[in-house]
Amino acid sequence: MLLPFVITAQGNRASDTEVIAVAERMYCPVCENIPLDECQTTACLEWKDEIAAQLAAGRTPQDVIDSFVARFGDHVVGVPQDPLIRALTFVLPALATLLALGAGLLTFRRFADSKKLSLERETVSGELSDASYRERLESDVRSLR
Amino acid sequence: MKRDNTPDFLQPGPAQPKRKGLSLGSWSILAAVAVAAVLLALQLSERNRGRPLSGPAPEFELKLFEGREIALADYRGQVVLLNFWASWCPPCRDEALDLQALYNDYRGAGFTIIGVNMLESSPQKALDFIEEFGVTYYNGEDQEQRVTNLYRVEGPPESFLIDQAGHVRQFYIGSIRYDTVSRAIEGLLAEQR
Amino acid sequence: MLAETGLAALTFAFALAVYAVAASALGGHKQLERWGRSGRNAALLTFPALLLATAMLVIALMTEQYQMSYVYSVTDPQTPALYRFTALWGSQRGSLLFWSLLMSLFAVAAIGLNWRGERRLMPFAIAFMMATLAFFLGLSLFLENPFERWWLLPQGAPGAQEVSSALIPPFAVTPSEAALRAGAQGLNPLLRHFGMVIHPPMLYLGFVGFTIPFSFAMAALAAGELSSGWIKATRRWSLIAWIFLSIGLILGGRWAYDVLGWGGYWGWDPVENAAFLPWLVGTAFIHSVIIQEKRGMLKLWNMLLVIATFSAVMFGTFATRSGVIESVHSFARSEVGFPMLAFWAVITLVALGLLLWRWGRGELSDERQFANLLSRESLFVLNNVVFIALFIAIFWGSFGLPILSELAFGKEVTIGAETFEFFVVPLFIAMYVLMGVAPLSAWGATSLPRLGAALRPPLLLTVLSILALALSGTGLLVATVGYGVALFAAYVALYEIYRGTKARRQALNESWPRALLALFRRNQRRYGGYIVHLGVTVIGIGIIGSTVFQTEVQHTLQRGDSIALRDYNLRFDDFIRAQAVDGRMMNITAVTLFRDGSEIARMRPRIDDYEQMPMTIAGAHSTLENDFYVLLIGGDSERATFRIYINPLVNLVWWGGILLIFGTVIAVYPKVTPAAGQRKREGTNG
Repeated sequence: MLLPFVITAQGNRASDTEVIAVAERMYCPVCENIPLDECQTTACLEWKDEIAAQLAAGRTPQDVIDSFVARFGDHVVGVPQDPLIRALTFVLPALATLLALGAGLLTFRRFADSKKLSLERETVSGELSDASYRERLESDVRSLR
Repeated sequence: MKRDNTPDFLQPGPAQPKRKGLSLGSWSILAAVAVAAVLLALQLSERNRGRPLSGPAPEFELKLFEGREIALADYRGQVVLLNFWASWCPPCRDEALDLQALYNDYRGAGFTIIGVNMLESSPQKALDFIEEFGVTYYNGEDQEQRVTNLYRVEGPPESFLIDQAGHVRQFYIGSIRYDTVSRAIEGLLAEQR
Repeated sequence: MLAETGLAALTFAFALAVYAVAASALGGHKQLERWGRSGRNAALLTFPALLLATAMLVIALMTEQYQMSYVYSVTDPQTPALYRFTALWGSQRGSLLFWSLLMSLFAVAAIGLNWRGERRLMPFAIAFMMATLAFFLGLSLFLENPFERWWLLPQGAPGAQEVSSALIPPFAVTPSEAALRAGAQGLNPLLRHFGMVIHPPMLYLGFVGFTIPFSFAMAALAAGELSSGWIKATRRWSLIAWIFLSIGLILGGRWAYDVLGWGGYWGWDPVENAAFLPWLVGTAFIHSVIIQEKRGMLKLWNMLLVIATFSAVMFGTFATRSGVIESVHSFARSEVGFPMLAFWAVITLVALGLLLWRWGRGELSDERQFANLLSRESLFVLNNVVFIALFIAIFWGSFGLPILSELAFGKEVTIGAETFEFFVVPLFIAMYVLMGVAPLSAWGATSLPRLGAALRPPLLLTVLSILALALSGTGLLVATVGYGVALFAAYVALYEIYRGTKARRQALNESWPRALLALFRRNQRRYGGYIVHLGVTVIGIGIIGSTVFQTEVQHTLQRGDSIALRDYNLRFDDFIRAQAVDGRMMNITAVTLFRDGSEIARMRPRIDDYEQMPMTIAGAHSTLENDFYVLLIGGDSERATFRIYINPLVNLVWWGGILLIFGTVIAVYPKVTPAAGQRKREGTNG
């Protein structure tokens, strides 16, 4: 019994491995977020057959991918092709990272009143007795002078 | 209980002047979250929108294989069968002759078929299919799956029967039969008279 | 009988939860002891009620009560007993009830452990926990009721003939047992794997577990108790929730690797990422709270992180169960989408609102200042930044951008692995570097020379390792850098353990093993943490090996033929068709694996035809060095197409996970030293 998969036709055809190399960069047009090389639906198998034929005809992998993107849209590849959306994809997280870094740096600069607070609001972690608390308090006062 | 044990009178006064309510910055952060929630709700309702089984048929444009572009609106006043198909789909092959027969028999009476080719691996395969079955009604490849998405088509073949006012009246999943659809067409044509 | 009892218990639990919210909120806000107590008692009672409800469902599953719609949809007469039980979380309705049960259990435990110690916080904490519970119970009761049953309406009645409902419709008749048995759907065959058996409970334990620190944090904000009481009370909770989440993620990967048949374990799928996001901020959180405990700093960060963790949990739950994003992992679309979105929005707004209010009043300021950029506090802030950056990048790629693109531009996009890897690789490199440097920096001022001196031995080992890798021809720069930083973090951990043990030996004259044991016992959190870091390194090395150096080919073989791959040979021997007990048709190929000429393994990759869903089961030969992984794509007795992966070092990912668990257990294990006993008697919870 022949299970559903693409039969290697005789003649000029790219090897399965080459097809996978292209298919794993693409995504199934029907089921979202499933890479083309994993998808075993009839549509996806037809597509892989077409990829094999195009590769055999001498087209480069990028050309093959571009031809599918032109017909079906950006969502069949893992990186958005539309320039605006691609910019948004990469620039925004980079910007957000910079913002987070900025927030980190801001954290360093909040000195205001923290010295005063450390005197009165020293958090006792539970292991210190009264005596050592006093000790720490005195050393803090000393360090202020 | 281990927490701040310092007696009241040693507590400092407030470190910064107490603000009544929230600052502008705080409100904008909260507003941003609210906006995000609204956008998500919009997206969710769009996702949940099902097939247009009744009511106005979504408008679309389709570029035909022969080159020119048509729109659904161009056929207001006619009964339209919108058929989604692909060459690799066996039920599509089954229904191809029935569809062509319907077209031949009723095109004079104010009926047309628009075929939308979906998920085809290459346009040539679609053209081969058209030639094999002698299809003469309008056919085009669905660019970027726009029409497919609009009609929430899950897999070929699916067909929508649209009346002269542009409303969806019937939906067929799987290959259609001549008799079933011809009855429906005649019913719609009779309504207008 | 079962359904009625279950429904009653569920309703009762819902009423209790709603009451508990109101009573506790009142008791906390007005400081009324009686109301606080009453709310607490209601909260405690939810657990026996939910235990009863869940027991009813489990009994129904085990005794094949197909009239109950849930039993009908997730089991059939051929389902084995184990999968009958685990079907409890196999589908939406059961899993929501299971979630509620866990939530209730954790709430009871949190109350039991902290009622006396954190009296001021407890009523508010209970209010938040019960609010979450009430929401999930409300979903179960009104939208996804697990106790619905099938009824036949008499002929001629308007509407469907067969109806599923919780309450008995008028004139309804019980459908015949035979018809129910025949129609029972059974569990999706993809879910019959040990990974899927444990993966959901582990994830839920993690998600629900983080509700506790969140509730305590909210209580701290509500009550104004903003030092580290709430952190101390929930320190172990956070770690335990974290380890369950980690196990859940690793098991999910393992399940995908074994059963889904694509040679990998992580696809950057939105649903996977939905579970990864809380892990990221959760990891930042469990580190950052150390700073607040020890130095009274980073209060705002910690609040933000715990809110982000809980918000991410709720968002992830919403995203996976609502259909807002599509994936192979998604639950079937249901009506819970909008309510979940509303809950996420409300809880996030309330939490942020409380936080911003307190912050605006200056109640979250640091108790110390930052000494310099190299102090441990500063490095931990940098750590937070790295994890937040990862969080933002992964959230944007999985949800933010795709949704925005569809809404604003009408264009559907797929953000694939290559896009994620672009962001994630440099950030994880930074994370490993920090994992190495931060443990060696000191509190307060750390000078560069001092830090450099401390770093010298591990750095030396790292440089040597990199040289060894480069010489052995590992090739790619990124991989070598990756191995390098991962090893660096491990060397630091090992070095610290060595230093500590050596110090004990010299000071107390103990033998090496004794000193080592005592070291761990005296400072469980720190040294348990180092073991966890070792685990993370091992996982990292496994990931680098199995992604960067993976080999993948697909080839069709005639029977008897072999394919050569590196120093391996794979021969296609035989093709067998067999029927399994549950009715699925198995198409099995027998293959033999040779290496350098000698046979090393026999494998049977196969395809199971189960109704409409074919399932690919790989055959794999696993060693520490690699996995030789064979998938059957299609074929018959004359020829078959195989897809072959060689995944170097992939088993380190699973073994690293074991180290992770081991280290966390050390870190959370309750102390048994006399000092700890003393503290417990004084009422501290740690």
